[in-house]
Amino acid sequence: MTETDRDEIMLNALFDAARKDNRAEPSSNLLARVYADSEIMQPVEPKVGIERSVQRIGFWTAHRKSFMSLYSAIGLSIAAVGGIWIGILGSTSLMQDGIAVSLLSAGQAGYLSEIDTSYAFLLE
Amino acid sequence: MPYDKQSDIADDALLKLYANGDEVAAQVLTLRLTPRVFSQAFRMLGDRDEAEDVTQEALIRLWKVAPDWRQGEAKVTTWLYRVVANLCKDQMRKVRGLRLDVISEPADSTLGPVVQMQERARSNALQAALATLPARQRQAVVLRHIEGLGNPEIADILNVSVEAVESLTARGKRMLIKVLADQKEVLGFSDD
Repeated sequence: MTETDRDEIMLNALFDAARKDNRAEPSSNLLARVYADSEIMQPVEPKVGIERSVQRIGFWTAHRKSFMSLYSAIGLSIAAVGGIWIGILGSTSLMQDGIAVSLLSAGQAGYLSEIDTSYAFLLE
Repeated sequence: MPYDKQSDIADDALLKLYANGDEVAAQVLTLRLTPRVFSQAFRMLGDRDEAEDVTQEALIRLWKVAPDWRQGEAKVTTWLYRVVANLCKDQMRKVRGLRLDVISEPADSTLGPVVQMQERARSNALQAALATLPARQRQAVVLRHIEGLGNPEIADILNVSVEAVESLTARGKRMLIKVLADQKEVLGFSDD
């Protein structure tokens, strides 16, 4: 074996020792720092709807919108009151006793009995 | 995309995913590239703290260029090795000499104590010898013989021809042998 061969073997052994040296491995702290940097610097895609939420509304538009919602509320209230009124007036329990018998002919008794079973006796 | 699905993806494709907001891509790239970058920086500088700073800076530069990275054009590792080489060169201009005495990391416990000591002594001796080489030679030797890169890639990293890389590594090795000549016996290389 020549001197050059021996030198080559020595260098290869030293390179091998260097590759195995765990001091050349990064610490967990460094990995955490690098990962934190990557998170901070990562481009973020714009979220859908952000532009709409920050859109400014003009003074008149805001008032028109609030009036329109007021009309809706009034309409809803009228409908509710009307419904209650119809319900109360339409109730058979508030009808005057015997009014149907006095007003209707025998032929119409069957029709009334379908509305209110208290008139069913007229069918007999 | 799940972590295990990304472990086989090429670096440049992962970088594209990272630029598109994929968090897992950032994790995979960090775990894949940090050891390579740190190893090169440590071999060049011989100091863990300085190597950590260089590693962090090199990877910050990578995260910055990610949105403009052209997939398939350049190799991410080659680009990174080049950045590390330049950062180390700058660092070496600022700080001269090795500080191996400040390193007190635990040794590899899978080896016997005598072997451990010898391996550590050999690694230290090589690191000290590397520090005597001119920066270009040191980079070429580290990338070729420790990081295991091919001459064409080293040529790309150092921005020189392949012939120049061969010349740099050959001269570097001759210099290492010369520097280590009187330590052969201590390091377990007797002439017998």
